[in-house]
Amino acid sequence: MTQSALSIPATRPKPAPLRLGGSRTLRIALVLFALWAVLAIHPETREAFLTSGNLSNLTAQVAEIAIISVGMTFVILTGGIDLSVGAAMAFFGVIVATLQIDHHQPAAVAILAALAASVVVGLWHGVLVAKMKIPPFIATLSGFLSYRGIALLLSDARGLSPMSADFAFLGARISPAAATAACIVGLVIGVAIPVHRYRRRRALELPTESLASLGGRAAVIGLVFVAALWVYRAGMPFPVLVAAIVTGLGAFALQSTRLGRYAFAVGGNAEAARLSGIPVVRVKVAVYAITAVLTAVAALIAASRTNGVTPGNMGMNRELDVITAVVIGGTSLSGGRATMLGTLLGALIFGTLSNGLNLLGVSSNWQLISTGAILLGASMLDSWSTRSEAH
Amino acid sequence: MTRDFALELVGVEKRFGGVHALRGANLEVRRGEIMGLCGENGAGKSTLLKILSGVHPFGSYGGDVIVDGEVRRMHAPADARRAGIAVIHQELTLIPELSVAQNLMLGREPGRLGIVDDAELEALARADLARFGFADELDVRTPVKKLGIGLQQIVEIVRALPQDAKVLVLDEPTAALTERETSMLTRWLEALRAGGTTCVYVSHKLDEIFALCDRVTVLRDGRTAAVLDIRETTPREVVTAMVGRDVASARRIASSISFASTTPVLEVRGLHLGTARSRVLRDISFSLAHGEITAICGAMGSGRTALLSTLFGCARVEVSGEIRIDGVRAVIASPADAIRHRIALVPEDRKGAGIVPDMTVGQNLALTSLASLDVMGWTTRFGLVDACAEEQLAERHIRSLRIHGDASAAVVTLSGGNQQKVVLGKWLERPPKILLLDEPTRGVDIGAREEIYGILEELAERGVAILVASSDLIEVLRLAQRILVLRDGRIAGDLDGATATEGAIVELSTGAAGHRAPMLQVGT
Repeated sequence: MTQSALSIPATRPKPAPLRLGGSRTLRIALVLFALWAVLAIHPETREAFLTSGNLSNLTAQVAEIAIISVGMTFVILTGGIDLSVGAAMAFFGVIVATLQIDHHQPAAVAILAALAASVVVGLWHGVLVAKMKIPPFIATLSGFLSYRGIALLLSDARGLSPMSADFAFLGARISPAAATAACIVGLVIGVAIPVHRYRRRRALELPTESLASLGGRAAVIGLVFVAALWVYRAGMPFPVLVAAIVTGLGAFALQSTRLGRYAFAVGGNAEAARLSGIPVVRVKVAVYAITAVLTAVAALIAASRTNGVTPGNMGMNRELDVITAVVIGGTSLSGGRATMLGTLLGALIFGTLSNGLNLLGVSSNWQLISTGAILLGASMLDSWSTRSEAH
Repeated sequence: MTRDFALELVGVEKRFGGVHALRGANLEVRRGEIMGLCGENGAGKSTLLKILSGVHPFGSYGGDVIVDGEVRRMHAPADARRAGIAVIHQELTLIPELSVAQNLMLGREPGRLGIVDDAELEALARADLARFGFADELDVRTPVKKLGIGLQQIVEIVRALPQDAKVLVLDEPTAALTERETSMLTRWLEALRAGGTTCVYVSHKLDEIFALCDRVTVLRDGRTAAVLDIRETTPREVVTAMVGRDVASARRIASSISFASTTPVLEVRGLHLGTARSRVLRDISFSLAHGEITAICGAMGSGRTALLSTLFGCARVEVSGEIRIDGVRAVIASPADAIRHRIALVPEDRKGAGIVPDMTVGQNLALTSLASLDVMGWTTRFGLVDACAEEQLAERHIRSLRIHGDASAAVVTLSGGNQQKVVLGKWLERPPKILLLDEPTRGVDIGAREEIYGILEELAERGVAILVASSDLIEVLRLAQRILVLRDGRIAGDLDGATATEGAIVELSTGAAGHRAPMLQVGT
């Protein structure tokens, strides 16, 4: 070749880069808005649905699922699955409840013990899957079976209640003033990140997002902010705050950390990842550990909200709820593709369905059927669009 | 239209969103001829083949596909088969867990009431293989995953070739084949032609096209750039039609400038791989000097890939022997170890082990460098990915390697040659000491191939020791200063690249007299 192959010619302009999975997330958001629109218009629900009380409740109910979904998104992204989260909730719930009730420990000790147990459980799953090469389905199915058994054993199969008073904050509301402050912090972060990215890219002479798109993004964030102020004007359920923080951190971890990037690589092509020197084992262990810890967080919140733990049915079917939310959110069960915003929207769709159908007075049987239909619809939409993208 | 053509494509157009992949391409294949089809990456070959094989359904493209004078509307691959077009794709479509026989008979298993007659199945598969003269070479009960890529390719071809095909379309059939396998296939195709079969032969290897084809159609930018009679044209004319300008054909005289280094960068002594009962590599000893390009040749299964993966820490069986890097004994037990010793590998299986398909070009390029990518000075310490630095890095490599594609494009949308540049590029942020490449230009067109050679030569000039395993002897002679020939896991010869000939390499790799090359039967 005449010119040096490794020389660097002048910069040429490039269109703004695509974010991982943009349009798919937009589609999911449209499904959610369509559901909300129906519920806001339908004569039987329009009175009750679009009230700040109802929406506050809806988000509080979704919080548990949303928190675990963040971890599950990572697990499924790497091509794995965690079926144990529901049973593990009962296990962690029994730990936190027995320590408080039977052993009279302060809430802080009980909480730390449950979190510590979750770290052990998560590392154990990771080692089983990544080191011992046991298929994730089997490794966590074993947990699904055994953790509830352990929970029943530890509690002698009795309901544990009430929890101590210093544990109540987890399921309570924060004051309107604190809620407003939280919303403002969210707004500031939500605006600062795209602005910072925009300025930094300008400074480094990289192609930037168009101002229109930046403005659109800011408008969406502003809208969410105003809505949140209104919904939580009587105070914000603490679980919602936790879910918001966890989802935000999860989105950041997914987009902007090596762990997130490596998770994409491991799920997208494990062999290429290994040959690129990526610590595949550590990545897998990390995602299972994250999921277990977030499961414990959800268990703590559930125990506090209901002021007790029933080991026989706490977290029952939660793994399926969570997987449903993640899949509706556009994460590919075969790995390699995920967005955290999608997962959050998936959890909201899931919660909206049960909330809306409750308001309509529809039996839970129909709720199951309609959730199944939405799940199938989301997957079909997804496979259809994937096929059309691949020509 | 005329009746002389077995296959005609008239004014075929195809768009993918904004990309105009085919802009009125024509192809006319006479009955009983072998028509070569070539063109650079992105010229539209793959798209054309996908239309021929029914992957792009009728209605999604413009123009006509005419088989035996009859316009065919193919909505699915099954329709193409019914129309008598047998397309053999470059990417393998075998099911690894199933045996050769089960793969060959997939979808047409003999038996009744859904119960498969295994004996019959094996007999039929054996008969199929016998058409190729491979019945004795291959045990039909072997799981396909245990075969090398060359043999897998052969199973693929045998499977895809029904008896009643009117037109046989081969897409880069020899991309992964050794010299021996290639000549076998070529002879078989000639026999088929003598029997009246019409064939479209897509290849980047002009020597094959000139040896085999009657005419050649050249695509450029989605159009038919030239249709040339092989007896009246020259390779240079074909290349000119492909790239649209006159290119001096370059055969680099392998430079004998040696880096007068005192210690070799890599020294391998007495390397064995495998158990005493099944040795994959036996007593391999050699060394690599700074700035030297060394090629490893040998037949399929001779241990080329095994040697490279052992050096990269991927051995899955017992390894013994000594590896020294810069004179210091090194233990390489995992790819991470190898990378720490600044060894890089560009694997043979680009799709399965090279790229991460769901990621963008930029993310693939940065994958190995995330831990050191840092514009702000603190981000990487907390495990953060600096997206701006990542993109700057990607842009730099995209420009320097001339990758045709944006940093933000999904890597799977790139052509094979550009994907290969991405796999190579991800190691270049901090150039390795030792660069291992396995079949670096498999499925890569001539233009991009030369560019890859140029990159390798430049890296060598900077002192990188390069070890290339290749079954393409032209490539080997073009690139290497030194050629190691493997046979049955041993080094059978060590040749000087400047003086070596194809004959010498083939002789060493086949073991001169001893080995019997599988004979072809003329099946028609």
